[in-house]
Amino acid sequence: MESKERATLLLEIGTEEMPAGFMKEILDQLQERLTETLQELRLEFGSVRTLGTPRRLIALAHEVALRQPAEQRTVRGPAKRACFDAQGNPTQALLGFARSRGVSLEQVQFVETPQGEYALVEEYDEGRPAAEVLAEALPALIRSMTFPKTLRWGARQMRFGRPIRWMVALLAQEVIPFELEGIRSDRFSRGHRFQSPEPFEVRSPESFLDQLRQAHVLADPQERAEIIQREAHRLAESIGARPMIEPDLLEENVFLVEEPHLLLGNFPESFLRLPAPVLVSAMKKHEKFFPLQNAEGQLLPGFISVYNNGAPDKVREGNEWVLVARFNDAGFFYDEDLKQPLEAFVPALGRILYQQKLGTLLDKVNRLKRLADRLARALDWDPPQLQTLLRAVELCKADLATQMVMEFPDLQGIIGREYALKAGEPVAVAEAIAEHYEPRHAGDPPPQSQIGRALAVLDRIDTLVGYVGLGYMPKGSSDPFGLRRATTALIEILAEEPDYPTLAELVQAGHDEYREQKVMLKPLPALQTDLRSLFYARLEAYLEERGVRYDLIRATLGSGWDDSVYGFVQRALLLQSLSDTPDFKAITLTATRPANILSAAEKKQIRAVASMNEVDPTLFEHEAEHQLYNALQNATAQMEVLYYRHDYQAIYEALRVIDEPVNRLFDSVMVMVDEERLRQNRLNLLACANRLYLALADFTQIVQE
Amino acid sequence: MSFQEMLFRLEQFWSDYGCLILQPYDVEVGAGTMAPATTLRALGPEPWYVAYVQPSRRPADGRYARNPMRLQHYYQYQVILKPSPDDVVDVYLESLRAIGIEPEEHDIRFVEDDWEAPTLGASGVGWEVWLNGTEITQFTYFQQVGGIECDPVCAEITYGPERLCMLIQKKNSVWDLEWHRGITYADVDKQFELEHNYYNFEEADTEMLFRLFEMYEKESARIAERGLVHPAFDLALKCSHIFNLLDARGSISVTERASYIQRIRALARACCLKHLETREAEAFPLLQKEWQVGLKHRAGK
Repeated sequence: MESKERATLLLEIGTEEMPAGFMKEILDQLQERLTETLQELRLEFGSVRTLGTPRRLIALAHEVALRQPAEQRTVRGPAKRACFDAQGNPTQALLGFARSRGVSLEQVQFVETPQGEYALVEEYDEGRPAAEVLAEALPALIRSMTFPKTLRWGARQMRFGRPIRWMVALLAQEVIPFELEGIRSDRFSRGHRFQSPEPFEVRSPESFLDQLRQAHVLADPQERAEIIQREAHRLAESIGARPMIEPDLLEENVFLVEEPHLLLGNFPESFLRLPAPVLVSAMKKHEKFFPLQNAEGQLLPGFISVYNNGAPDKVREGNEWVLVARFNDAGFFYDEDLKQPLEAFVPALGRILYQQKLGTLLDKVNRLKRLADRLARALDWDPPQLQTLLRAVELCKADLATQMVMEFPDLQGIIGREYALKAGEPVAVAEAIAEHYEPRHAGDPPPQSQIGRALAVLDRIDTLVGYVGLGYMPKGSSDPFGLRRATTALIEILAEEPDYPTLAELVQAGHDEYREQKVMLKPLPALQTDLRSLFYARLEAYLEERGVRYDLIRATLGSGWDDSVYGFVQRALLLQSLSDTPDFKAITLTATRPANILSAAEKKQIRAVASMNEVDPTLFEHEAEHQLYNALQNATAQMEVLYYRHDYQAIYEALRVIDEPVNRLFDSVMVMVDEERLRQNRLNLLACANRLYLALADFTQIVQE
Repeated sequence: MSFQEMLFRLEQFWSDYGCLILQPYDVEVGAGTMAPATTLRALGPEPWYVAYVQPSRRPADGRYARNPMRLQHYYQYQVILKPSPDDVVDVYLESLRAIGIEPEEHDIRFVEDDWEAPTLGASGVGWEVWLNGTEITQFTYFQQVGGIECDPVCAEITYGPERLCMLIQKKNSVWDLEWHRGITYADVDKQFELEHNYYNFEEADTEMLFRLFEMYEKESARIAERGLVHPAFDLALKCSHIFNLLDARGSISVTERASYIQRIRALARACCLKHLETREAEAFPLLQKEWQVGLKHRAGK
């Protein structure tokens, strides 16, 4: 019965238009599920490939065995003592087992196992035809598929991403017959909705993709993407332009068409009076067009549109019409908005909710003003700088009340800058308004101007304190308020700001201002703990990206005399640059000695105090103690100054100076003596040394080869 | 094709398909969905195939007749097919042919757009339909109304007649649409639009509106309790419109907003539950009727 015959399996799920954003993940999922299904069915196969368009999910499994392999197996039943009653008659347990395996009682054997004697049946499974087992398994596979959002349709109970309208399931030339709530698998597929609407018979899995091509469907997303890119460039170059093709927009277009066609459209030059970001956003977000620019990066009055069907002239005419309508709309909003200066929109912020419990946008702006005042004082800014910052704070959210931003939400800040300039606000204010949302996307640079950076930091501190204070910590892949992104942005800015307050100080200030507005957040200590874990997780990722070794990151985050982001980053980078030098290896070895003895002592409930005042030189018995004490006194005073200057290189040099006295003490003095006062005194001395090492790093975290 | 001719052709198409052609509902609504012919009838097991023009009011969308596309009062062409037929998309495309849009000649796209109406506790999954880049229809499979699961599911097809007609007549402004034989949309509606804009944004007596809201709310809850579903629902719709007016006046603070929506939803939900009860007590009478619907009926004409 063993069969070596192989054939291709085709599964096509024909649907109404699936959301473009679902497709990539769904095709991966289909590939995984089919692979798992074939493995579970013990059907050998070569490879599984999935393809798709908005109207179909296709899986092709190559070289699928036409039969399950035959298998000899032993099936264990109930324990022997459960198989017979007191009279020695077979029990229900035994009868049931025999029945379930389809054998007579005589065929049941009893075998000794380590757990006792058990009923056993030897079975020979000759294997079933692949078509048969697939017919049972494929409906379950289809039902098990998950989507970001599902629906029911008609009178059916099943859920899917969009309604299923047909299914093709073939193994070689044979239909694998199954049914899902009245939808039957067969051999009839459909072509392009408009160009080849009639159902057609699939001759074989191998010919399917070609038949689809004949029916104006290019099933392979990769092929569609290549055509779109090639054609877009060709069309743009024909007028000396370059298409602006972002990967997301390309993918969306790939999954909006079954057969891509491209056209070049134009719009009247007069619209170039509108801010370029508005035009670009209308083209990309609303119409999914690729905007065009010249070699200097200036926007041109044209676009490229990807379409699925239609007479090119009619489609172009429609595309141009809708774009002009959109631009007219935007122009209308622009002119209406500009009838008043930007500051006139500020009162309206009191009517826009920022977050149910955190108040309105105006409440947020008021908090930011007070935070700005505190920051400017901490940074010792002069009055004109503070005034500029306060003006920027005042106006930073005003554009959220404009019609333009309501229409184009992704232009927040950019419209604010535009309108601020039109209203004659200082350039520094206008720039800061746009910059305070930066970096807008991962990989973008942080704000350039001092004012913009300050505003960006305060806005995000307020956001993080507010949301985390309400208990919205990001979990797993769920971060609906973009808190991780906000944290990373904050780190990227603060990494370049030596003088900014520490994280704990910023968080406290943020918390104070919420309390001032009588907003109930979780208590400050709990908030600090939550935010510290959020910050440290992002800092880890940030430092890793900057090429710092993982153990050095741990050493950095486990140390420091405060939590200044600038300090963390500088120390981590310094450790990375030193890590291969012999001196660093030596200092690492030395530094772990006091750390180890202190933690061993702590296990015995002996706690040392890291203060030079708690060390009594009159109790010293050895020269090494005096030498270390003197060295530490010098180093401590010096390092405290250096630390607040962030001069970590100099701190490293200072630590090298105490290297020798520390080692000498360990080599010549017994620390853990029985005499309690002596022991405590020595431990305190070492705790002072340890504290100095910790200014730079937790050396115990460093992996030594 | 004039505006009214286009509407006639849609009426004729859906009539031929087998839909009941209803007349517009006579209470102010924000969309065709809110008319009882959709909200209430979308629930329960009875089949329901209807189409109607629905004048719709969204006070906050007014632009003093200065915007070429936005009005506080406009029309929707609403079709409800329950249960949603398997060929519903094809049927919809045929309806476009009826108004002179040959699907083969244009780029017609179904772009994901799920729909939600918080005041009705309603939500659905579907698309906006694009014709050469312009949204012409909202296409939705209702999943929930009044917080109740729809079973079977109906398809809701909501055409934007002004937008469609602008494309057909190649006009850049709604005000230039030819309503019929040289008379324009502006001739018919502009004064209406302007006066309502002034009223909505500047004149509406908000204290009166707040009082009315309370009165209608109380009355709706009271009579829903007594099983008078349709009057109760009308009053819930009145609350919804008053809420929209107050919102346009900027008289509802952001913190109150959610609670007003919640209050309207509670009224709507009560009506939906009562409606189902009433229909059930009558053994869902429309289950007994034979609906003759489908493209074949149209072809056989």
